[in-house]
Amino acid sequence: MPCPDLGALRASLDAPDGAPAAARDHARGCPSCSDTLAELQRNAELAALAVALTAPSAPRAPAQVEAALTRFEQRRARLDETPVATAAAPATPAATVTPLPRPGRLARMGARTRGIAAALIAAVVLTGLVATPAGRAAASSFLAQFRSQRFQVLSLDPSQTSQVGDVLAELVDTGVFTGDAHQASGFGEPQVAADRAEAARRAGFPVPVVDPAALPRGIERTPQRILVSPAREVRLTFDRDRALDYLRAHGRPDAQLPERYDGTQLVVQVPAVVAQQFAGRDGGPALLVGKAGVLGLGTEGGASLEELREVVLDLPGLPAETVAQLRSIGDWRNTLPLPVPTDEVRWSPTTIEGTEAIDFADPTGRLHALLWQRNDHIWGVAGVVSSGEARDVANSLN
Amino acid sequence: MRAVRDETTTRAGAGERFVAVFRERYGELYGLGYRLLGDHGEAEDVVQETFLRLDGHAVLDRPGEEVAAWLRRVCLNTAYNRLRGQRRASARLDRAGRAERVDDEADPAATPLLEVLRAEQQRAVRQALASLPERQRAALLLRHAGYSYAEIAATLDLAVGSVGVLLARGERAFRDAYLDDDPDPGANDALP
Repeated sequence: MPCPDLGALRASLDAPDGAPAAARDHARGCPSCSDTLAELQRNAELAALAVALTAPSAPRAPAQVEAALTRFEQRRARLDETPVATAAAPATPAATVTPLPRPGRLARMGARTRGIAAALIAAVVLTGLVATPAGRAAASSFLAQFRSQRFQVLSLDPSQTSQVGDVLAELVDTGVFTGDAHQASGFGEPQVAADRAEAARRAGFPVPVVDPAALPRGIERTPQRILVSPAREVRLTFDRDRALDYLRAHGRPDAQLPERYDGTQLVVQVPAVVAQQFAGRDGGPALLVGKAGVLGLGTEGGASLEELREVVLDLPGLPAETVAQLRSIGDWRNTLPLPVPTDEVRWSPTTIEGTEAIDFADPTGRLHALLWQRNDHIWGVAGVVSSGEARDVANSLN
Repeated sequence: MRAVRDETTTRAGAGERFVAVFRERYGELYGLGYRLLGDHGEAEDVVQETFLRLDGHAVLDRPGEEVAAWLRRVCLNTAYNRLRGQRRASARLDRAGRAERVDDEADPAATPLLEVLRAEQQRAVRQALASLPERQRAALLLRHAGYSYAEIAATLDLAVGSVGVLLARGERAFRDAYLDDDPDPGANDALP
């Protein structure tokens, strides 16, 4: 058989039992084609991993498709009401399209749900910290006294991530937890600071100097910009009656919750975060050096933090393995669980100057991050760098 | 009278077919748009524009696979037009690289640092994809989104036998663009 062309060799990678497999059989006995095939396979694997990173976090749910259909029909109706515009550009339909109003109702609802869900998941994670008798005692106070000294990774596969997201979104949609959307929008919109001094003033802690000599080749020596996300407090209010409705609608007809739980506020103290962003060769962000304060959590009202945690962790629909991981965490006073999507991030334990740390990498191995805790702060280095380069930067942050 | 009733019936049938196609294809088109644009609102807009063009189009009477290929083609072209014509590519890339996520695909479980890492990954991939010729980019995107060679060929209006070479060249170009921080001269010498 003559040497197959490039297309046939590439197709043979995707059709093990089909006709193009003959090309692969040929390559086994042909050094030149074997080298080409190996190169094609490496390229295809890299592309597959990389393109997977750009996918939406979850498929569109049927309800989202229906909402999109409703928006489409509204949009079409608007176009039908503007005959001049429609008649003016028959040859270029795209030019007649009225831009969708943004943010629309759906988008606003999405943002609200997302924000509150972000705070909720932080609460779920942190309530895992009071799983021990000592933790229960501490939880009776207004705010759990928590000082994180180390991390524990909470592995979430795509299915678990999706399940957790669905449950939390439904809790918000059904009004079991309500909160101010702006207050609860994740970790807050970062703001640009003029320099380290201003960032330190806004964050409330010193911002480290990054030693230029420790920066990898190809990275600018000074920060491109410094971003600050200020510390703040998020409050979510628990509605007992809606929680009972939720439980009964999900196969718990006999669910009971004490009346005193109603109106309890879950208080999440979100720490300040400072990120110094360094540019790479193309001018885009290539390295981030971050520092954050610690998280606090407590309740105000008739339910203790432990009691509210039990309600949340017992909710139907949460993945059993995720709940088990949260419940199994020991050393609750010093351990911060880190939810990590296993399909997007690889991780391994390591140390930074004797302190426990976690080494993260993306599936392609192009991006690395280090996260560790020291002196009541969380530190991180992340970017388009090797693990060793990230470590050099981390070691320089004294 | 009968003619009027037939026309009404036909119109109602076309409407039902359109809605069925919308429900069946919306998710995959949104996925394609999002992969290219990285923004929920823009992906949504592109899909809506795609279906506006389908509305009343003769292709709706064709078999389902042909309609699907037509939709993918229009969706990709509409997304390309956005990337090309709005002079916002650099702003979009910059936004995608910022510390915050601006669309509702953000993972509420992620820490800010992981979010930044993910945003940077996506920015780098989209930037590398944007540097490819459009057909190579489309072939690569479609293949790694799970489409078969036949579906790719139908979408790009080419012979099935041409998909392999398009993919091979696209993946090589993508690797060169994506790993440009770590050039490896000669690595492609084996490829024709």
